[in-house]
Amino acid sequence: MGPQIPLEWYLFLAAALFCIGAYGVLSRRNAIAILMGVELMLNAVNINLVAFWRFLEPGGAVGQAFALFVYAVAAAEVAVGLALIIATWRTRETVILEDVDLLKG
Amino acid sequence: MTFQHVLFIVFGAITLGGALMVVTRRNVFNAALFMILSFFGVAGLYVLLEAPFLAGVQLFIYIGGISILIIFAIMLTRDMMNPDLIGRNSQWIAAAVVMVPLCAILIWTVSSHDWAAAPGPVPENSILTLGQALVDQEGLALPFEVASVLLLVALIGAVTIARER
Amino acid sequence: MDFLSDLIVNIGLWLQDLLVSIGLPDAWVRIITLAGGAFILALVPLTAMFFLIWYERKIVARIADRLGPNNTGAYGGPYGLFQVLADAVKMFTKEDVIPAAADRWIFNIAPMVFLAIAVVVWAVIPLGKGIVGSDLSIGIFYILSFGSGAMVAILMAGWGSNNKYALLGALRGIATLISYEIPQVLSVTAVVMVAGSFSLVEIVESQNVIFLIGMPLTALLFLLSILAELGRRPLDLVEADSELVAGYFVEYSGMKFGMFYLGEFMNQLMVSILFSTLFLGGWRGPFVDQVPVLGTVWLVVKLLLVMLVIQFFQYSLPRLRIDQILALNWKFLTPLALVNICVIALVGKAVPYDPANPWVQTGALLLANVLMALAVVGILAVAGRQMRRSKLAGSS
Repeated sequence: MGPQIPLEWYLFLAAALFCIGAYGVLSRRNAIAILMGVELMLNAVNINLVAFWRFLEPGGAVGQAFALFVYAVAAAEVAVGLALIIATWRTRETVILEDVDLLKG
Repeated sequence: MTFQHVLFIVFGAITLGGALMVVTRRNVFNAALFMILSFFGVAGLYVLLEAPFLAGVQLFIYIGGISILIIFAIMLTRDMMNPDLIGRNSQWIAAAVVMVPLCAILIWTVSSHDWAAAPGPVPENSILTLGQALVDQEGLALPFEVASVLLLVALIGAVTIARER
Repeated sequence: MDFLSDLIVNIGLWLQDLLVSIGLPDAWVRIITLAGGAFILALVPLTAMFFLIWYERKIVARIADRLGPNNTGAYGGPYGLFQVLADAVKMFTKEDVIPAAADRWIFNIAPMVFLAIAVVVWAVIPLGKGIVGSDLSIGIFYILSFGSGAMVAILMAGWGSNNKYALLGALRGIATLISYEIPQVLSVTAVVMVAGSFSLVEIVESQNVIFLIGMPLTALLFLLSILAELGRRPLDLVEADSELVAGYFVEYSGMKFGMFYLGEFMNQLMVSILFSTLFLGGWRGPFVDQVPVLGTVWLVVKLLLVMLVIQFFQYSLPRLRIDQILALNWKFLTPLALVNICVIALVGKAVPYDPANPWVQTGALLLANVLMALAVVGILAVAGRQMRRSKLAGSS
């Protein structure tokens, strides 16, 4: 019983999720909330990859493996990003990115 | 309106609904919890796409790892004196004005392409294929090793940056 | 006799025939049998809890040289069997207290998520020959993933209580859980490597010789790491009864506390069954081929045995401090698990599995495990001697 849901639906969902994540990145003040938007975008990309894997080459392994590498990169990026945020908190006592403006002209 | 359609709509609604809550909640801890809900929805979509291993990895890494990390960071950086009562920054209208057309353009691009016809069945041992490809020399062994080095570097870097001086 | 010998499967088939004969369309029959099966599968551990909590209390009592629940009073029942029922009724009738400043949604949802996760992992365990909720190809991975989801429930409980002691307990609990996931996953990976599949049904079927004999060190690693995952003594700083009062569920009362309590017990049941399935052969045992329903009986026997061992650990060892718990994990269990996985991979590849003669691979694995254990004991002895010498030199 093949998938009764056409490929386009998954791609629409992933596009919507990506745009919601991008909106989150652009419009939030808290640095951690921005990071959460980035995670949503990465999830959208993963949905795309897996949908393409399922519909175009289900016998191969590249689609799923690509998604796994995205997971690894996402984990690494979240770890380093949160370390940076915590370091910022320690020196500047704030995580609101608008207030971290030492270099502002 | 088969069962799969119902499942897709349910999981899609959970994913998108959770994502909308993430980007609009003022309280960043609630936003993190909605993000966890959204990740559950994505895991459900993976199961619909017949990739159960990736669904498990999604639960394990995103919900059991990254979300916990984000919540720890939220707790460590909570400002009791001036809580963030606004949530949105000064350019949120511009962001919304840009994102909605972007979404429309993406959807229009996707729908105007004629994707291939019927997809084939997923073979029984897709996990075995995946595992073998990840250690195959002419396959993905090199990206696999590079990803491990990346994780090691990120681990050392995160510990170094976040250390108490 | 034939019907009785494969009782549970035959009951299921009979029910299905009954539904088809009523005249329902095929899809409805499928949905009803699946939903009914899921309902029963979820109900079995919840009702087995009554017996198992009584079992634990009796064991604890005997270890402490007392009797435990017996038939004193009107509610005890013979041997105190109804004591747990009385406790459950008492919990139902307690007042549901919600702290004034608690976040209501998070506070209320946390125990439900906790219990749901404890129940949901029952879907993939083979409870007998041919009885399994759903033979997922990622069986054991599904269980591990949902186990890590329990952390979210603990976090919600600790945060939603708006109580810094609850939060402290929750954070410590999550730190312990995250740390001990690593040796747990690594030891399970060793089992999966030898068995050749994630699916629990196949892991049980590939145990012609049970894995406890072949990989005792792996089994010990798994046991130690799940003791921490359970949050039970000696690694139970999460809910240290006499220190943090109740850790992350200190603000809960009535049925919500009952849900946490039940969830913790179901976790204990779950890891006992997991250990029995991974290392003790699940439903395997003598005479299972002739009388398949004996498989379930053997599983229950092994489960009670493992719970006995876990409770011996719990009630005879003193509690470790949080830094000792984490040191045990990072300095001992994780390197050992990594070495274990490398050695088992090498040995498993060098001595392939021969269905005609399973003892060859088992013997090789056992030898490798014993050598590793001796090496570990040797290293610990040397390190201990050095530490003692440096302490003597430092103090004198």
